[in-house]
Amino acid sequence: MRRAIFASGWFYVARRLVQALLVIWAAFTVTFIILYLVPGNPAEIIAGGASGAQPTPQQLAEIDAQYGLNKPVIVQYLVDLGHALQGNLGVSYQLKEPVSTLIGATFPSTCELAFFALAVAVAGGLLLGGAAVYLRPRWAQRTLDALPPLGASLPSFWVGLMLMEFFSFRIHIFPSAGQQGFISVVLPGIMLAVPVGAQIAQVFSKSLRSVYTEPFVEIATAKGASRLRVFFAHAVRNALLPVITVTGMAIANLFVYATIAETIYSRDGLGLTLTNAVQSKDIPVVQGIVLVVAAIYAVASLAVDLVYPLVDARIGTGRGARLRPTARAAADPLDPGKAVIV
Amino acid sequence: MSARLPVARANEGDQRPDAVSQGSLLRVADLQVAYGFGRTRNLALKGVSFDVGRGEKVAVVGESGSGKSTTAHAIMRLLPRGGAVTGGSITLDGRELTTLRERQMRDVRGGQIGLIPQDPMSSLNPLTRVGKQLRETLKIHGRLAGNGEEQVIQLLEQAGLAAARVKDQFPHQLSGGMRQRVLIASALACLPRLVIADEPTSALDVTVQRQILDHIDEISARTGASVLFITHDLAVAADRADRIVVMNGGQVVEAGTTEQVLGRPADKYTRRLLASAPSLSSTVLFAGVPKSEPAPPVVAVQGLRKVFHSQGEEHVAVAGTSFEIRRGETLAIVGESGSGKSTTARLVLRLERADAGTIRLNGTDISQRWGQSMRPHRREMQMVYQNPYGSLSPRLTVGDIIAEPLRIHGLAGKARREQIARDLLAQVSLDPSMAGRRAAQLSGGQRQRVAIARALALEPSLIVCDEPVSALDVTVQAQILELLARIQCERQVAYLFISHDLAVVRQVAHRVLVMSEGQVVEEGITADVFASPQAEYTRTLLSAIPGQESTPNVPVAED
Amino acid sequence: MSSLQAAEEAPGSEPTGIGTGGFAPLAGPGARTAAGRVLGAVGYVARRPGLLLASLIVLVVLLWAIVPGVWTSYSPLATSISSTLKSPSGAHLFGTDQLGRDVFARTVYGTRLSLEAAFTAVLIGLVIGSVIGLFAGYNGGIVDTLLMRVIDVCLSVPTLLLAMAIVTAIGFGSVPLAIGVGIGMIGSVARVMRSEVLRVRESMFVDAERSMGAKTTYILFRHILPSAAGPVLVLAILDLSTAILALAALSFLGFGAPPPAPEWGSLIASGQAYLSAAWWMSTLPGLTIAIFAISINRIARELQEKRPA
Repeated sequence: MRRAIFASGWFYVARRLVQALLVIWAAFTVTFIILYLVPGNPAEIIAGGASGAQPTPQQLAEIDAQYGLNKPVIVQYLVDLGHALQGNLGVSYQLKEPVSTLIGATFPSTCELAFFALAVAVAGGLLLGGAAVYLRPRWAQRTLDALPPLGASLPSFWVGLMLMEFFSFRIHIFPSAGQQGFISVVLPGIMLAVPVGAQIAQVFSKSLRSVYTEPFVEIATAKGASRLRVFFAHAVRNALLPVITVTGMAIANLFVYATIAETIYSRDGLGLTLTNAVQSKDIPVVQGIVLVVAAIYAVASLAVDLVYPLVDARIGTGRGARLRPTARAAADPLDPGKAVIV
Repeated sequence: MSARLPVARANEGDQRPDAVSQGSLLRVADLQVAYGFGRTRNLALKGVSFDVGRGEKVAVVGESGSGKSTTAHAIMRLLPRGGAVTGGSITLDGRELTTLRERQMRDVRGGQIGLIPQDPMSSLNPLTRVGKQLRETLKIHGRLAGNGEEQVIQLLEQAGLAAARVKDQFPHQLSGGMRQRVLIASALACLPRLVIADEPTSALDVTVQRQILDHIDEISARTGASVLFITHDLAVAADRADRIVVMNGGQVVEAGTTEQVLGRPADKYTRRLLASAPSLSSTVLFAGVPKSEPAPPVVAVQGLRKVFHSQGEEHVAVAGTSFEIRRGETLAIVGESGSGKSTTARLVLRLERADAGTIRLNGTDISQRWGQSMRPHRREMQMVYQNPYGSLSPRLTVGDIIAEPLRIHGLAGKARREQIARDLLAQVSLDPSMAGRRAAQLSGGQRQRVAIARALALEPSLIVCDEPVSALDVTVQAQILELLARIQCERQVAYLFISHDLAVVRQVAHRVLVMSEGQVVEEGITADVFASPQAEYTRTLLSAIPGQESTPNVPVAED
Repeated sequence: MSSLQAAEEAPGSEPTGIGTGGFAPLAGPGARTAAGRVLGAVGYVARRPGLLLASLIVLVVLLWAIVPGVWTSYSPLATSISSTLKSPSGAHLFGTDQLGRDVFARTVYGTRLSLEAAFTAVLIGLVIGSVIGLFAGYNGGIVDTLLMRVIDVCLSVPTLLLAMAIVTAIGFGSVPLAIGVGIGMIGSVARVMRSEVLRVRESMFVDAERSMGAKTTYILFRHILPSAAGPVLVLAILDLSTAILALAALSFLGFGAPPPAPEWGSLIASGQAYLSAAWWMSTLPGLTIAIFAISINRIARELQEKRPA
């Protein structure tokens, strides 16, 4: 009976779910601790606002009571946690609006950008990485192999500015600011896609080359399969697994690094909200965004873990459980654990 | 000059009962293959010639580096990047293969020539169902009838598998033997006229080996396909092949019918190979044990038991094993994988904690000792591992490796350690100047000698040898076994010899313990166990040893 | 079984010094003396143009940080009303900015700021990450699982965000950024260290050591650490370029040292408003960062390829 439980696919799902929740909770706690280190009195920050006048002690006391800032740390923590579980992320110190509303307003724009960038990155990365292995001439392989490290080393904000310079100012194809539909997503999307795409290309080509050394690829050729068939039906399928992992891990990163894209291209997104909050020490907003990003990471991770067994039958079920790599471990440890997008 | 096989005459001289049509199916003539370019160019095949007749079974036998595998790859044009045929010809049914265009070669692969691979565990696409992979072969060569379901089922059934269930399974759900059957079915799906079996059984358990080889025989008989066996095991060749081709250093050194090669070997290398093959040679390497031995046994084990728990499952690895080994004696534990033999060895060495049972080493009960209290006793027993590549640190020099036990126990200063290391190197017949080299620069046999030297450093009373020769070429194997025997004679050290290879055990062990699934199924003096095995399992193991049917000399064990 | 032998007996297998990470110059016949090894390494680099170029670039940039005055006669802070927004020329290699400051001088002087922060970040990540990874990998069991969960959390928050949270807490400047980015790097270092420790720990020769009676600390220092050091150091070098890019991005967003400090990121940020008029203000410093990061990566990859499989 115990064996049946361990071996069941449901156990795998349940375990992953619990892990995801734990990660979100841990991120919440860690940020709480960090932000608790803020020197100075939060009440002053709240009271400060636009007037610039020194708040009276009475006003401070009121604010303390209102925000619960005079209670011991643990209580504040538990109160915040309780609220968070209900979806209440607190109220912005500066803008006096619920954090969840603020985030909710700007989330879609960033979401659009992040997913567009992801799509471009995956398509480009797979194409580049695959071509680097499939094409036969040495010069083609060398060139294509040299591109991803290049892409991973370029500062993405600089790339964003260069793109704007060429495709917006010199050649007027794309707008340099604003959010008028799809066309304004292109340049920032490409900017974000470069480092992620480079990483995907590297992981994919490395994985492909490793799969090509496996005996079953030779056996497929021995069966009379053409090079194309061997590539797509055997090599690629087996090589995709680490790519899935990397893609999952990149999503959360894209959301955050979209901040830079939004700054450069003047888009109203989560990034703008974030930078403003940091500038003004608006703790609830920063905490709220961290929570949201951690949640995105956890969900993406979970999605990867759930997709894995569908692609690779050895994973997730009882017999193959010992072979199961955790989704994170599947990528080579020396590839950057996080997407290098800066 | 390679020994050229006079084809027509060999055919005429054959005594085989089945009819063989004139003209050979596969003719390899003066084949030359080179790897690499410029400075790193090396000739893997230096002019290889042999024939395979229709319906004939030919074995190409050689050790590693002989070029036998390269020959097989060259025939199918599966040479790795950097390798190319630089001379000679390969003709299949009169058709020259070396000049075919890639497209035409693809038709030949799988369609005319099938390949049975060496490692069934990694030769199937892990992500695709088995049935689908069989279908692929049919599809590529246009032999698919409908959706192929019928054909796949038939192929699997012919392979001896429960077709309906297996066809929807993934490779990891099948055992090694079953996977090999699938691969054989795949190789034969399009009824090729030639089947190349590249060491088809070296990765399988001995009992399964025999089944697979029988299966290949059966297929060859049924479809009339010729079989080209590539193997390092002369005994397998002796059993299964009509003709044997012996290769060494990229050349054919001898070729002829099985009776000719085994009975009247002409070449020096062939003779050496024959003498070294445990199942074909009759040499027994150990000396007798002095009869009157008043001292207590070196190691006495009573009721050892070990259970592994994983994922809610319980697995009994060792269930109540008991034995004794005296000075100068070798006790072998024989079994297939999963029998518990390796676990038993690790329990004796206290590398794992037993769940029950007692272990006495030179009279002292060490069953409960661990860590600090066990440390002094570790000097009395040492281990030689199976894998000569993994058991030596890649970072240290050979001298350091050998002296490591001394360093660990703080027994000698640096200079003295170096001296001892050099002495030990000499004792294992290695040049003492090797002390400065790194393990990576040594061959497998040399590394194993270093491992033995290391085991001797502390002058232990017991050495546990865990499959010490399984990863070595057969001629090297013989040398290492001789070395072990000599050391035992000189030092009267006791050996606990773990092996899956009964033929090797027959040569080196005084007494034998046969284990299966954690239980001891038989024990006794080697000669007795081999001559009249009591347990069913032992009988199965014995009958699975290749080379028994065709050796002219019946192996006689010394007493 | 014969595949094991085939690997060894394969023709043309040359002796490589695996103990030195397979890096041939450090293990060949001339490698007895330290001088011999240095010469060997230099010769090795000299024969590979890409690597040579990368090494030179890294050297130059390091010298920018150490002796900036040698490379430019201008001060990074000296404004000049008469030469604002001049395009690149012989006098001003990178042109001038809106306040007449020489952009090249600002880039050169900014190197020290940026490199100090980057090295600090990598050091934080390396030290803390190594300790965690070592502990987790060596102890295994509950300790390992617990620590790995902690690392997972570390990895779940993107570096940029973590740094921004820390900046919110302790204020702007190079130091908070360095701390933030450093903490972000702990995760990957810990994972690599742990995986190396596990790999060596589970290897057969360590098992042999144990059977010979070696103590755990002995095995740790004599075998595990030296073996794990290689990959971890390669990762540290890669992380250096990551850190530089991350820090530049953060200072671009305005969280770094306040102006007029010539931090690389803020240099590019200040050029953004003048992108169409004076493209050199953002483009050229950015190009510098890019080339520097590429060079570091090239060196790191070279070392990575030489490590034993």
